[in-house]
Amino acid sequence: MNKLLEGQLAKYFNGNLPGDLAQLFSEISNTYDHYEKKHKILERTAEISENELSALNNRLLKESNELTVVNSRLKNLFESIDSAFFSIDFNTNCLLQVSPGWKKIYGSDTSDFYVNPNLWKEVVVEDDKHVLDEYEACVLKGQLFACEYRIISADGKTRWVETKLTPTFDGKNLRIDGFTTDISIRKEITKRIEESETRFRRLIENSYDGIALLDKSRKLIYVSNSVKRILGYTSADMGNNNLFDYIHAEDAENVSAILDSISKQAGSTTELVCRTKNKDGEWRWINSYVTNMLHENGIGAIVFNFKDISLKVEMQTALEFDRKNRDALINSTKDLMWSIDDRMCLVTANDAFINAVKSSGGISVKPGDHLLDHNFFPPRVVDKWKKRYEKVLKGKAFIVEEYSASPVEAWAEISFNPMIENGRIIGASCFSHDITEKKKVSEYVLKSEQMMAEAQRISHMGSWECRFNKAEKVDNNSMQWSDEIFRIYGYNPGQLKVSYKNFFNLVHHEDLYRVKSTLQDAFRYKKPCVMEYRIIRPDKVERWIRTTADMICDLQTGKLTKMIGTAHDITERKQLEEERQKITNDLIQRNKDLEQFAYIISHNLRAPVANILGLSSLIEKKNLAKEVKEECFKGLTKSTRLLDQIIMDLNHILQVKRQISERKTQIKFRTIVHNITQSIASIIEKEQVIINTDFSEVSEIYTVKDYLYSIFYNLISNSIKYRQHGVKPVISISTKKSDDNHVFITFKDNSQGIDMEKYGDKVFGLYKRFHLDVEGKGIGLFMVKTQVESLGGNISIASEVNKGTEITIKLLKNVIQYKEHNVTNTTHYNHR
Amino acid sequence: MLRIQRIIIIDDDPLNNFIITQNIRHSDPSLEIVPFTLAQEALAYIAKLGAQAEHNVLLLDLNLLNYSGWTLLEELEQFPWINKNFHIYIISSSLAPQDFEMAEANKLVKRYIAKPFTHKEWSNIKLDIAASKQL
Repeated sequence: MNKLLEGQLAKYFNGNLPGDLAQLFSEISNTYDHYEKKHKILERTAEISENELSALNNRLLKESNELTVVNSRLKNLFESIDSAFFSIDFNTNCLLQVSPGWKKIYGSDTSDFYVNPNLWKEVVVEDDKHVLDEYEACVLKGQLFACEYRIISADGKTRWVETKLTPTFDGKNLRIDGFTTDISIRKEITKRIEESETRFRRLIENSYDGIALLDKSRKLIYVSNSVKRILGYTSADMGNNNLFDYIHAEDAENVSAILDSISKQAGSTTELVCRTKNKDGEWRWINSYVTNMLHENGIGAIVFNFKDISLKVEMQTALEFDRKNRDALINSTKDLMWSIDDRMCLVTANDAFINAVKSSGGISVKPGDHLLDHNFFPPRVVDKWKKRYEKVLKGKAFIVEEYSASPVEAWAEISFNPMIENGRIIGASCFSHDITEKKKVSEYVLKSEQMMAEAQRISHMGSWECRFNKAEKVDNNSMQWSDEIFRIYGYNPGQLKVSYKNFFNLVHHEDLYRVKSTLQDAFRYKKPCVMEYRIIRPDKVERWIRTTADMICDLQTGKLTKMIGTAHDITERKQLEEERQKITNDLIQRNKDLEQFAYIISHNLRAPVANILGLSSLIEKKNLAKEVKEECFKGLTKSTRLLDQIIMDLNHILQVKRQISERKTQIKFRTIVHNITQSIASIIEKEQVIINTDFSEVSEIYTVKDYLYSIFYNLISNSIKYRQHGVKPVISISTKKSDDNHVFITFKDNSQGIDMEKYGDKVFGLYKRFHLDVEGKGIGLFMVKTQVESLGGNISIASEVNKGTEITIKLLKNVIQYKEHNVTNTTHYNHR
Repeated sequence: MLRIQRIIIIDDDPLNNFIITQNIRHSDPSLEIVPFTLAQEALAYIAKLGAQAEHNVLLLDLNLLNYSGWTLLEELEQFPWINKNFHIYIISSSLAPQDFEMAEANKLVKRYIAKPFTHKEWSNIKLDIAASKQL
């Protein structure tokens, strides 16, 4: 019986009896074994002895008592067990016995069951009744039948029970032993676990994050549906694959280490970021929370809860890059950048600012420091900056230029900008840019421009430029003049509209063609050119201008792009040049004169000397005839006198040449002619000379009176002296104005004339005589020429044999006017 | 034997003609001396002499009235015989070097003689002519 119970109980407990129950059965078993052993011994030794029998009887009694105790303990157990134990005779359907546990499960008395042996089946809830369908067929085969179902107990409660039915056939009757246990609690727990698992599944299936489960061998045993969205894989794609098939090689080591680490401690969680290959083969940045749930029932895995953070990583990388870039940018410049809050405390600054403050004030400022609240800077500096900060913190954006003389001369341009947030000034950003170079350059440019202007003003040299269009034609309106050019042309700067065409309007018409063709050549050959031309200024003064032009060509196309040049007033130089040319000519003439003078001396002066020497040597000769001797003495006297005369003439001539600085007066031509006709009145009367004068155009001249008289006298007397035989001398004297402040005086007569072809170059020579029948020394025309030239004039002659001679003298008419001209010039220059 | 037929002097200064004449007469009283003061007259005379009149000496002054000795020499070149029949000497008071040079360059001129003309000059002329292979 105890074996049966033990077997039933063992079945109930799935083969493992709880400890106390096992012990109980063991005791029972031992007691039975002991009893049976004793009993067999007793049977064998019954006949041994009475004493022994008595002793044995006592022992048996004792052992019987022990067995009773065991039986009672077993009965207690049977009656105290919570499960219901019952036995039914299958054939008669009669309840053989039922344990008191019945009432605990079914709520009714055991007597009710005895009355109705089908009661255990009748209380089964309708829905579960089908589980018993197989029961009879099963037990009839001698098999154990177990089932779980709900019953409604007598107190009306529904409870889950498990019933195990064991058939025992003793050859005659089929007995069914039933054992029903209340499994409501177990069912409840199982239900809860199932619900919990369902919820968990539902949770991870619907989770936005991807979830993957990894077993100990790092195989993916489960992936959630959301993985498809994140990485493109279905669970079929990944199932049973190794996690590391998907991890970036560079991250594998780290991932492996993390897995090792968390595997050691159940329930630990760690965050993991790694690159994971998606279905398209791209690497995605995956952030996972990895939890060791290997120990958890129903999970038994390492759980990955992950999401794609590639965008975030990229953005972070970009942000980081930006930040580094920005740092690099703001720190790579020498410009100072900083910002302050509304209390003038530093918010941010670049290295340049920090360094600048350090080098000037000796302090290292850091964000949060007040920039002015210390004694590192002189009060003047602090004051200045305080005002600036106050100004910008009032919302005013502005720029200041700061100059510092030491340690090196430097300029900075500092801009202040208020920072406004929600309509409130929260601070200011400041930017200081070193403009020393710019300043120096612009100062240099300004200075050099001033110097240039000054240089142009001083040198009276202006500059100009002009552009060409694409067709290499001068762009008319592109011409630009420096201020000095305006002054050179007699205008105030900007007074005249400057253009290429207007330029030509300013050039003297006589020089225009030359200037234009020079420029055309310069354009054609792309070579620089120089033009010297006259202009008439607005004040009617004629000036000489020298203009240079350089042609600038495009390096690539070789086409003319612009021309630049200078203009220079060269009037003074031109005048000097003319004067120099005149002086040179004069000197050449003078030299010729001197040569001629030397020649004259060698001929004319030596002639009488040679005669004297010749005569003297004759006289010295012996036996010279008396009349020859006398002739010799006469010759000596004549030669000596001639010598004296020549010396006197030369003296006279030399005096004329010296008298250049003779005082000049205003002389009327009429008066001169009148005086001469008075002095030679007898000859005029004798030869019936007719003198016609016309001084209507120019009546007087400012010159040396003696020279003018001598000129007129010589020319009039020559006309009379070389008159044609039998023809009354007619002399016409007239004056004519020249366009350059000179006067032409013309003497025209009807004298014998000179063969100009033969003697043209000699008519004004000293001691040249052309008429053998008329007495003369050949000094008259030489003297006239000398005197005319002394007055700065010139003389020319036209003559024809037997027709007459016309002598024209050109003299400067009015020296006063020339002086006035100079005065004008001087005044002009003072204006500059 | 002195091969001189006649001596022609052209000088606008009569006094010079006198001095030359007297110097020649003093040593060679028989020689024919023909003095001229006007170039035109002298030119006419020489032309008249013609190609037949050989052994002539011409003493020519450069500074003539209304005429230059050089011009006269140019006129004389028209006579083809002039070089053959005439020994021409320039007699001038000029000491100007260019006159010397011009005389040296002229084919007709034998020598330039600076005034005053003395007997020594006359002796030199005679020696010149004696040594000359001309004539």
